[in-house]
Amino acid sequence: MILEWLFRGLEIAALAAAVYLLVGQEWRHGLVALAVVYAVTAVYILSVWSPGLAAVKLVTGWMAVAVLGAAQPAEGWRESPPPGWVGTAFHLVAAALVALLVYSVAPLMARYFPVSAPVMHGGLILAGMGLLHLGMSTRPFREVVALLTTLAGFDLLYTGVEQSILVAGVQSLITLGLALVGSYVITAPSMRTGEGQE
Amino acid sequence: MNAPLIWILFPLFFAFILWLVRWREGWVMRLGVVLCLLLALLAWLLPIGTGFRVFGNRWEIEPTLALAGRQLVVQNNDRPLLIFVYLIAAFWFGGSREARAHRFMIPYGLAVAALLLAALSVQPFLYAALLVELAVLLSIPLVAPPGKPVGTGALRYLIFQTFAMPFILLAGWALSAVEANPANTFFPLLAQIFLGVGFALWLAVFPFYAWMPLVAEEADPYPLGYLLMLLPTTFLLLGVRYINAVAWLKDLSALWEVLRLTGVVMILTAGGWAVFQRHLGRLFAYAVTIETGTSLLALSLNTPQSMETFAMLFLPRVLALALWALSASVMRSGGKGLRFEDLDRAAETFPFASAGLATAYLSLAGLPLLAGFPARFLLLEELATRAPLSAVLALAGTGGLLLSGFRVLAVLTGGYFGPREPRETPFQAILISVGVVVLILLGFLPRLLFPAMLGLVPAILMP
Repeated sequence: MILEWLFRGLEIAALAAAVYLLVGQEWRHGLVALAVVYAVTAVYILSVWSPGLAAVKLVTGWMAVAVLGAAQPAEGWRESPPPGWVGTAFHLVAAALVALLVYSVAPLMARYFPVSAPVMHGGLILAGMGLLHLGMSTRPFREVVALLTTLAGFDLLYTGVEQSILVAGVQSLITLGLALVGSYVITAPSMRTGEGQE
Repeated sequence: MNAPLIWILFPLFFAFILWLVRWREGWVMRLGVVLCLLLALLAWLLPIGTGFRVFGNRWEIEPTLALAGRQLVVQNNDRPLLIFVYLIAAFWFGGSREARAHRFMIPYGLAVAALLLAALSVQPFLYAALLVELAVLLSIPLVAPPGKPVGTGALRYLIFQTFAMPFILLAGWALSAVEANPANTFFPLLAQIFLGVGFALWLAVFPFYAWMPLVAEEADPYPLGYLLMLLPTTFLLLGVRYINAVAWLKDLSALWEVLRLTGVVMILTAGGWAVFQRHLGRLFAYAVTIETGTSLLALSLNTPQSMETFAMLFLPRVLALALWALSASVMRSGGKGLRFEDLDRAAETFPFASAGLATAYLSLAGLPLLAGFPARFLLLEELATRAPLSAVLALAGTGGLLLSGFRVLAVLTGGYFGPREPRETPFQAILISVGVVVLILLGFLPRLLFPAMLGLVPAILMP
């Protein structure tokens, strides 16, 4: 019973963080939301993997957030033009539709896919919201964040399939690599190009 | 000694060293070329898995490296592939200074090549998806150079290639489920769908190639050419390995039909779009798409001869793409844009680069007596006997590319060669001339180098 409530709480936290990533225009809060996504993912993974591997996921996720934060992506985060309340409402309705879709297809997928129902819900929420964010965003930096959210969801789903240390390690490397790409997106225009400039 | 250590991990480490000293562009280029040539030479000289003697001492290069329960396996049959990849890298890096490629080109390019080789050699093979994703992440500075905003094309490239990874990994899960429950009919279907979508995203199959023209419009042609040559080649080889490794997949007649249909659609749509383009970069992207489609057509025939044709297609492709990328880079670094209006009568000031562009493009389009023609001719001949309609459609698509090639020629020359003030350096002119001569020579004398490419066939067919 307690576990069930815990997983409900995790689903709500994942959904709230993903929705903030979708509609939020303040980069610091956005990165906190991404950190929450990785924390939720790590707690879910605890139910499948050893605490050590879950900690690896958490630490690499938070490192990714730190890498993104170090780039100071204020401009890269804000949508231009700002969505306004109509745009935000539209984003929220779309998010609600994705959530509905997730809760509709999760039981069917759980029949074939070897993960528990709560992990399936968490994974699908993150992957679905990440995809929605990817489709709706016009800013390259936000697209990288959306990709990170989507992959966090997929990583969660994939925990039931593969529990190899190497795979977990490479997935963590990919998370960090994507964060570095996000950072590159922000810093590339101001980077110097030629020989002897440093 | 260990083969994956020599040909995968050492180049990766060396790429990191080159990255550390990336501001010394001249030295980075020289070191990169020397290392790649050395690795190709070692692959040529040293047998893998069997002992050999050096100065009286017996040595043996182990083919396998175990990593946390998985293995990297580089076998003796892989040697032609190693030679091929590292020669391409050396060839490309060698021209990077003349092409004014940015400083990330060689360190990241070397790392990408090593990671793609790792993807080709990892066992179980489905983990290749993770290594390919790492290569894609490292390739971002190649498509989005420093000093410029990262464009939509680079982002789309990242997104499409990243989405391939989950599909391929899930295909691995579905395939293992098939092995566990051979009577189940759902999992084979699921595996086919996942593999199909994953490879379609990787290979930028229609309709997933939208990012290619975009990225080709934004990126520097030289690093992009390297990437667009290396990635599809690796994915095609991975595809062949997957097919050979999964016995029931190979027996599916529908698979070959789908491959043929995909190849024809890619050639036809890309050829059709090419006719309407007014940007050399976008034309380059469509030419690459047609090349991938042609390779898929060769695979779809599934005969020993078609596999030889599949291997033969690589060499003219590499040469033509390199020549194209170098020539376009020379023009770009000389202040010319790649839009047709910027290239008006460019042959007057860039005679060699214009000749290089035109020859490379016409070779990619399969114009007779150029390097791209013999392999295409063999392919279309065989295809015509098996599926005449597919052959006609493929020919029509290639015709579109050829048509736009003549348009490029018209734009570059403007029908007039007046007094000119060349803006190419002598070394640029020499490099481009060598490329043009080799492409023409291969067209006239296909037996000169194509037999060497047949050495790749055992490496390609290896599960």
